[in-house]
Amino acid sequence: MIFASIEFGLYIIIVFIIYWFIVRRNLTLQNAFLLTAGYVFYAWWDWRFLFLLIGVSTFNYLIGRGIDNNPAVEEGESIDAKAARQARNRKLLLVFGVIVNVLILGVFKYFNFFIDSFIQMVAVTGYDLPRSTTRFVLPVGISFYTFLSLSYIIDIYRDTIKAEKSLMNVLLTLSFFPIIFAGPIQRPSTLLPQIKTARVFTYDKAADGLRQFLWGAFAKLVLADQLAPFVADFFSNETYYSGSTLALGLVFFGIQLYADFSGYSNMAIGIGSILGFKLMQNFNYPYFGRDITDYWKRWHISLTSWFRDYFFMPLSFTISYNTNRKKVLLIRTDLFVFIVASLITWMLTGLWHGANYTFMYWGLINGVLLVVYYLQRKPRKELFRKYGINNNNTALVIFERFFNLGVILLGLVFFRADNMSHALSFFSEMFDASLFTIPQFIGMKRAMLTTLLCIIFFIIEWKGRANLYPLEKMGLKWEKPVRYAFYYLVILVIFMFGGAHQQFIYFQF
Amino acid sequence: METMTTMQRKECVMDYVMKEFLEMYDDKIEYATPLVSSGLIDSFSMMSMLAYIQNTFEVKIPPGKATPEAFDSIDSIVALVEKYLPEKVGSEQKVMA
Repeated sequence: MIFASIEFGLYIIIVFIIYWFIVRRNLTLQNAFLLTAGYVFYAWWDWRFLFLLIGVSTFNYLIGRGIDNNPAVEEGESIDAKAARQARNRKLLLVFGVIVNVLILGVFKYFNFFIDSFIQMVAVTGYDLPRSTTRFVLPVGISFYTFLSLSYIIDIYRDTIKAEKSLMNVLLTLSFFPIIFAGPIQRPSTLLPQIKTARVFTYDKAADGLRQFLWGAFAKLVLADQLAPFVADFFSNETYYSGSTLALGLVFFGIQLYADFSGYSNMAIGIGSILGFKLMQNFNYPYFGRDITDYWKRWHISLTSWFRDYFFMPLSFTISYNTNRKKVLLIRTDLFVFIVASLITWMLTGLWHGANYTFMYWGLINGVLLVVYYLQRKPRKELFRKYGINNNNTALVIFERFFNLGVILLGLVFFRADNMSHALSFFSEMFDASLFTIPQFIGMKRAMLTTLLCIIFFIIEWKGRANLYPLEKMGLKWEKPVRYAFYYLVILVIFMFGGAHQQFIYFQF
Repeated sequence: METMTTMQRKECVMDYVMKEFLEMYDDKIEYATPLVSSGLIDSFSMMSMLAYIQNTFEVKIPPGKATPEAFDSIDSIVALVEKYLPEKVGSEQKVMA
């Protein structure tokens, strides 16, 4: 059951009626219903993995309670033996919790990858090991709920939140159905208080949720699903098409990926609003970013901020804390810390997306780009001062936006390619003399129409870029009939074009 | 290292922030200007600054204390540094005298 389906339409109507009209007066009952609804939603996809979800949630509940029962010790505080033992237990419980969560994710998501890589590595030495027959199926949403679980126990350890006493509240936090499959990865510090407080139905909030869902459905069904067959064709037959066609195909993929995932996120956040929740924003118009740093502050915010808070910062701190020299490997220590921590973090961010070297390289490329951007800031300032260039010059800003977009799209070849040789083949076919010819491909008329829809989509995104999603405030001051005509037009376009029903790209992560 | 006064430490951090993080050399900030909460410095850059501070002032900021709040202004950064300086009181008094 995916959001943009008749099944889900019926499901959400039933959930809405029971949630707001039957169990509203009793918070515990309402949460119990939400938990059951979430498990039904998850089991609809694959009931076998529901037990894993319940097991992981219960495990993290117990670890959280254990950490909380062993108080932290302040730096420099004089403590007795019992307090020292508790502080040690606290740390051990956290380490144990993190290892178990990562192991579960590792086994289900990376087992096949590691085994295959090991066999390939051994094959280089001349020994051919038999291919493993054990293959693990990836439980949908595991990357997302594992990260949410890690946040939960790390936040308890850091004293950002208290361990939740109610098992049901933890189960619900880790299986909240709008976000269970592909995020946005919430922070327990913002989601748990909402679960523990009675939600109040307001027309404005529900209408806001519906608008956001509508915009997400438009992006997913009209753009992403329409673009998917073109992109699949370009990336499967790259030797057949001209360089210019492949370049256009790459632009199509960039739009498909954004429309698919931001569409999903807007639908998820919209459903959250309909149920009285406020969920974290996941996209902030990333393709309008001026540079690579700006882009990554706007793309998949819930994941990048997760890696920043739970991986990059502790890693940087550890490196920095253990380095007493002014320079490491001839590099200033502050730069060294940034470079090493960035590259490791982005490599893992890439690998998070999938067990494939292409994702790892994609992550590393982004890490390198971020480091290059970081290092060029000072020479850039010098240059601008020397030649009196205004940093906010409109032409410069536009140029930098398009340049940035080009760099991001090139990196996405690795994201989309099946393997490294496929990515390199795509590049070599794209960057030949035919790059400067007019693009030609089968289904030109449909491609032109899809391109037109993409342009309309980005015009609306640009006009609404100051808001959480483009339709948030757009049209609120229009006359009611005009506003509703606009909404119905969007719905009409969705029904006209939204028949392809492609899977959400991020469900595979 | 020669002992520094609070003002010298602030100047030192100010110089680093201006060189490394401000968009342009003409941009101005004060010691109390919000750095992280205003978006002037992101959390990634904050960790480079932590490394710089630990090295420059030969201080170890304990785990959990290098928070965005503690790094939000030059005033708060220097206050954090001085809290964890070894033999802080003695050295400060020496300079003051």
